[in-house]
Amino acid sequence: MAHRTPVSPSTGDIHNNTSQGPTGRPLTNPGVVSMRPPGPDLFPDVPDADQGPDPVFTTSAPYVLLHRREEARATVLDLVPSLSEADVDRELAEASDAYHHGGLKGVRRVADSLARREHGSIPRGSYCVHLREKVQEFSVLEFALAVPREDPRSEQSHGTCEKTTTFSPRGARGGVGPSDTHTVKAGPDV
Amino acid sequence: MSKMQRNLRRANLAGPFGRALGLYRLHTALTAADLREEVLRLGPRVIAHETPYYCSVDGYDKDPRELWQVPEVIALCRRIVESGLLSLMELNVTERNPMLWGAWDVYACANELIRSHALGGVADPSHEHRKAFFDCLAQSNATCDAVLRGTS
Repeated sequence: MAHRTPVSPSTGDIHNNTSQGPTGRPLTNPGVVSMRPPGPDLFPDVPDADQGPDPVFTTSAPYVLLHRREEARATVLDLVPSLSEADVDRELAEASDAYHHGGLKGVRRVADSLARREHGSIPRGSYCVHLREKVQEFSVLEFALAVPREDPRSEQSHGTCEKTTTFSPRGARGGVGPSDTHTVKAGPDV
Repeated sequence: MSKMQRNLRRANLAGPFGRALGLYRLHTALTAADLREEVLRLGPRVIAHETPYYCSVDGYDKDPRELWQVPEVIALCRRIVESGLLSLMELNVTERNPMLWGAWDVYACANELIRSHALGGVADPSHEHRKAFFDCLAQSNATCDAVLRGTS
């Protein structure tokens, strides 16, 4: 299982505190989703497929992540009004799973599937861009909200290893300044 | 505001790590009302700056038990979950620093999941736990919203 990294390896970006998205359009609530710059294909907002997993780490609070996730879901629902919520949720869950395991190709496939079910074929243009973007945003946020798949501490001796750190708390204990370098135990294993 | 909360606020403002790093020092004496006030105080900051907090627990430096073995800490974590403060904390801070706690750690401690199930020492919670955590975050968000809107 792969570790998540603190930046998006695809771009190295975390769009924190930016007022514009990668395409120059303002983000509704910037600071959460990392996307690649525009590409040469028909859907410039959507990253190229087949690039493998695209782990995104955000430092946003769950409060922000969950609200944005709900906004993305609501937009997808608006874009495919003929489909039931249950259907859309199933597709979004599939997109999230695909994102988690295989990157963006699966996400695009799910978005296209939704478009096809809504229109009978995949329409080109802004509709598809928007739909793909929102399905991707949902998937990225879902990924960001997931708890770690693997704990770095598992490479140590199951949470009781000794480790020197400038933070002294043993399992999040406070009250000691950064100058106090102690030998401490790692935090909890779950 | 309780004396404990005043002291902690002072510590959090003047603490050695400062606000910029997002460290939030807690004490097991914090009541549900104290934590609700913290949601009111920290919520707008988190929303405006999207900078979540992570936490440590004051005291227990000389206690041989692990924090998640201390009943008072478990009770504090439960109050954090119930107050909505959980939603304002970074999810996985332990990836950066295993010595600090984020939302997942607080949730796991509150629910006594830490080392309570056989996972071979690897922090790979089951699908069931992931879903329960997610549901808990959703509930925490609703609480947070209610507190921030003054309807709770």
